[in-house]
Amino acid sequence: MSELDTERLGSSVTLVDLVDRLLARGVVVSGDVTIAVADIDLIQLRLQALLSSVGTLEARREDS
Amino acid sequence: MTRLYLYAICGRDGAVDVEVRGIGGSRVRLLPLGGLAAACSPVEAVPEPSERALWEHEAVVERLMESVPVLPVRFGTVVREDELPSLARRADEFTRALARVRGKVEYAVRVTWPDTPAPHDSLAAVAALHRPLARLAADNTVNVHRRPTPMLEAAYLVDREHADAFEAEVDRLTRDANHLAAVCTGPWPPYTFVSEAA
Repeated sequence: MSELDTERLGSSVTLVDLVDRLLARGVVVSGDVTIAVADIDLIQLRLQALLSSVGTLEARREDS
Repeated sequence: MTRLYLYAICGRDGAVDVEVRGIGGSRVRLLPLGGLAAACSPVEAVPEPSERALWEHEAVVERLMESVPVLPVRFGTVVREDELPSLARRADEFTRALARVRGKVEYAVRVTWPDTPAPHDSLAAVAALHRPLARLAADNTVNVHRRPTPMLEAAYLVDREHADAFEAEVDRLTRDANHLAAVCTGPWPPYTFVSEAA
């Protein structure tokens, strides 16, 4: 696994955690919060990216 | 009537640098909110949750929390300016929540493990990873998912003064974690710990 791949893993995990925090947590102010269905798709997409990345990380550890 | 995009509820016990641009490059202002402050900027409409907009929201909250305690607000929250007084009625609740997160940051930890051959051993290993981190944290939340792959998602509320020790402990534990794959991100604003509930 190259250094570039490690960076990609880090950035994809960070993005998943960003999406998870900003769209699903934080103070909720009643009324005008708009969460579109598209947001959920975004989370699912990023989670899949995360899971495939974690698989790669495991593979790297087994190799080393 | 001006529509305001809301980034965070802030305490006022610090000098605040609001020379920061928010969603779409808009100017961020701090408006009084019952002894607290609402960090907001004018918007035309609720922004789409693009990657760029998410980072713009995050950048504002991170800048604010350098100088004051903050309660990060969920992305996409837009209020009319004349709705702020009704929001100010929650000032006591916000003040208690601010006391809970003052001087603290959040770390996210995800751990995955193989479903076979010995899931019980894996769960014990996950617990062994979580416990020392929980001891270094003021609070934590833990969720375990079985599908689509076994995964523990934890968030830890950590005093800034203990952040280096927490990160070092994460490094040590994940190095020793054998067949577990663990990833940690942070420090984040305390998105997970913004309610006053313990």
